[in-house]
Amino acid sequence: MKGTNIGELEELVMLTVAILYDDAYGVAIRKEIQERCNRSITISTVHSVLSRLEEKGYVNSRYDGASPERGGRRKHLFRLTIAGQKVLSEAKTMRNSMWEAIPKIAFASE
Amino acid sequence: MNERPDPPKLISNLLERYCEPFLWEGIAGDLHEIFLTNTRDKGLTMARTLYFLQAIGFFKPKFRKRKTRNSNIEAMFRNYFTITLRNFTKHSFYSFINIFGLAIGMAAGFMILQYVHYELSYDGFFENKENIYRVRTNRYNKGELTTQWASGCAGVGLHMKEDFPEVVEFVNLHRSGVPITYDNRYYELKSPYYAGSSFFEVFSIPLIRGVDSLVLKDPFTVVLSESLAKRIFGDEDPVGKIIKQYEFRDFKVTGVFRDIPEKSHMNFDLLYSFETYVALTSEDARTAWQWDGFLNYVVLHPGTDPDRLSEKFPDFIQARQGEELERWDSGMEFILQPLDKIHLTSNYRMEIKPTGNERTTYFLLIIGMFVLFIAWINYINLTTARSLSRAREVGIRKVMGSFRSQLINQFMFESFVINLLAFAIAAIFVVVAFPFFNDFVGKNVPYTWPDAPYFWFGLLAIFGIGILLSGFYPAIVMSKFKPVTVLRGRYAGSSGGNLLRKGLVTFQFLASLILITGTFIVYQQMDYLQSQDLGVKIDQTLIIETPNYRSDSVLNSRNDIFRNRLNGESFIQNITTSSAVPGGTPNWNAGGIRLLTQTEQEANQYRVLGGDDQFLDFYGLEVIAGRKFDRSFGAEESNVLFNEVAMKRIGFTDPEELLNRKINFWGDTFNIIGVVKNYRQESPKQAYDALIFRYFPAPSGYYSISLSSNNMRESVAKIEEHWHTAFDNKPFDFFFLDDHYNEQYRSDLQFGSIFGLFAGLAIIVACLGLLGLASYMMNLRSKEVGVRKVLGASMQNIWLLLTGDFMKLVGVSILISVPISWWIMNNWLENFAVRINLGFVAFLIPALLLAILSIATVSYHTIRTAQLNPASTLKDE
Repeated sequence: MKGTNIGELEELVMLTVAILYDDAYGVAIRKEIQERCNRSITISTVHSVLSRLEEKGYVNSRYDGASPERGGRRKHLFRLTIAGQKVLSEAKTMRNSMWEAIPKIAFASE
Repeated sequence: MNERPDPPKLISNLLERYCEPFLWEGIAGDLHEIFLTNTRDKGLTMARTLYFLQAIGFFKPKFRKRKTRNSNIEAMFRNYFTITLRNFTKHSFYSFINIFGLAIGMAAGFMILQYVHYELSYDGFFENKENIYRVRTNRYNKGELTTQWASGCAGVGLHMKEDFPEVVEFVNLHRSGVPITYDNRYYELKSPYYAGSSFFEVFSIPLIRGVDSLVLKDPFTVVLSESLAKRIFGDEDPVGKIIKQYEFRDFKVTGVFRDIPEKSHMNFDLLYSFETYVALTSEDARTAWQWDGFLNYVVLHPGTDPDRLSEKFPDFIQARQGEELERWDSGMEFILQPLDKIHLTSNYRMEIKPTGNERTTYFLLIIGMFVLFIAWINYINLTTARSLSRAREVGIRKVMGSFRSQLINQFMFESFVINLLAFAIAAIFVVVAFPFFNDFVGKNVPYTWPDAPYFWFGLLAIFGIGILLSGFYPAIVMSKFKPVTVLRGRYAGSSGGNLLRKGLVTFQFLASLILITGTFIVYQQMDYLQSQDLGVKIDQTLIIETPNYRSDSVLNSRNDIFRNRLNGESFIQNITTSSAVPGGTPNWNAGGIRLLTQTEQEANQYRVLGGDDQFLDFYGLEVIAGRKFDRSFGAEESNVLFNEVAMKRIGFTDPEELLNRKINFWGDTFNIIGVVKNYRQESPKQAYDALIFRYFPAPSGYYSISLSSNNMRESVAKIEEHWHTAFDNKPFDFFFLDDHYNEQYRSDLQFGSIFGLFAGLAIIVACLGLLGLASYMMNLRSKEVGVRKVLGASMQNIWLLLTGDFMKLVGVSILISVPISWWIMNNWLENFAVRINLGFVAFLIPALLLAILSIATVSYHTIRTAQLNPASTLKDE
């Protein structure tokens, strides 16, 4: 198990990268997380999570799509790797199985 | 939309340099995009700020350039640091002396800096302080300066405003000596004054209640300080309440002001409107030029040159008062004192509270710097002396390709580390020692980090100069070694270096010796002062301020009750009443006194002291001609006694001649019935003053009661009981005369103890340095000693030889120190009317002390070296 664990924020960023598919770069990811989770994170945090994920091999990146809004610079675009997809679905499966393992009685009072 | 604003250049350039180039394009693009969105939504300024903050977030190791050129430098510094640490542990003794000495020096410097800063920052909180001045007065009589007042006449402020366009506003203040009551309870006041209506507009003392232009406008209004209001009224609203002077004169409270900070020359806790004073006296009180009992503050038009304004004062005085002054052959002079300079530069009559002393403050600064210099010199000495042991390291480094500049860098870096460590230790010292230091200087310097930039600048300067000064010379010396020589094993100190080292040690001794001598002389002088024959008896005497009554007849009848009751007590020897007691200048200063046969121009100024017919006997004052007051003679009210100085001032040398002469005292005629021998009315610090004694049968200021019992507490309690029987609930303010008298030496004694403290520190640091140096020198000479012993030198011979080298330096510093200390201390002694003569002993004892201390320090090592077995020192080569 060790080494395949991912943090909560990492999971969030990876999911967002997947959602944005072909347009996943810093600003867009930050915006998406803000809209979906109502959670505001700094741009430098997004970048440092992305580069950590790249080091772990869960995402890969390329440069494309320069525009005047970016001062003529290209976007640093990210996409999930196979390993990334695997880690995400593992996380999901694990959670699901844990959810299912909760006895009904535990939530009954609600 | 064509014009696109640019993000802040500086930070983006910095970030670009820092960032990994591969990541940079993405980061910069993102930042730019956010910046544009923000510009649209939140405005350019906000967007720039946000850009800056976000960019800061990228200065993390994660985004840093990998494999930069800097890594070499990093490794180098890491190496320097390792070497420094290894040196510390290897020579822990020297390092300890080094760091500890430096820390003491820095702590001393820091404390002094804080103290000086405290003294310099008095009244700095006043807004518009650069335009507010106090007008103080000098009075001349026959062209001779007679009295220097902090205050002046009542009309000065008003007339200046009338006559000079530069003066835009004025405030005058007059002390009120009377107690107040509320609800029939007496409240003690710290500093009650009558104040002009513009007071709160001129001085930025915030009012918690009331309007600054209105609170002091009407007669019989009063403004209280926050703490006084709390003391009197508790949580009730003071505004609109009525308090009384004594028990009868009503005042309406119109406002409450925030307590004036400790760091001010003012300490008012209650201000009556000046209009009250006018109502109580007469309209003339606004414009009078007769009496110097009023503090005058003026506000000048911004940009006014005070010196230019002062030049106009003589004409102003001439126009307003010239005739009157000429009639008495007297003169006056006005001096403008900048508001924030009053505390340190002013110490005249009628100050609001005791002021500081500029000379002492700067003197302290110099002493503190002395200690710091001694500590730096230690560092230089120890480091260069020990440099020989680092010679091999330098040689190897040079062979491996180090440039000299790199070696200098290395040693400077070591100096930085040591200074930093010392700085940290010094900070701990300061925090721990500060309360004690406060006690020493008798100040309540709050332990806070001062906000003045020059304080921090000073601190940084101490640190920076310390690194440079202590690090630079050793770095130069050590980086100079030639690898060929040192690696072959032949290294000797240069003679130039030795000379410098000796010079520095001499300077250290010199500085410590001056401090020791100073301490010694200060204490000698204090001793001498206190052992003076004062000519007046002050022990076992209780002083009580006489109560205030509306009518004299009530006071007199109450007084009789009080005295009768006291007379029945066995522990009371004698009682007298007088307008002043020894231990201060009599408050009554009277000009225009002359013999009936003299003209008005020949009149002079005297201090006048009134008392009952017991006064002279009570204080053991000797009458050298004529007689004392005696009520059985009757009509004593029109008789006076002179003291010897007064006798000379009025023009006589033979006391018998003066008897039965008539004088004119403010229009009345008095007969001189006696001459009193000079005595120390104030203190031996001052010269004798010209005194005239008058007869006041009624209590006029103070009761003096001499006690025979040893149980002071019980006696005082008994007296208080009688007091309250006789005077109801009037405040019982008492003190013991000898304490009061000795209070005058307090600042000098403090000066002495501060001197002593820093002298002590200086000696500790200097001895530490000497210890380290001696230890090292002995190491170097151990072989020489071995050879000498083999050739037959005795222990004493060797000890003399080794110690003598150091003693020469001590001798030189003693020789140089004598004239310097003599000059400094002679200067200081000029302040005293009675002073010791600087004899041989005053310099001999400190010199001996230093010599013994340094011999002891050095001998510790020299004896050890002399005892070494030559076989063990000579065996290895």
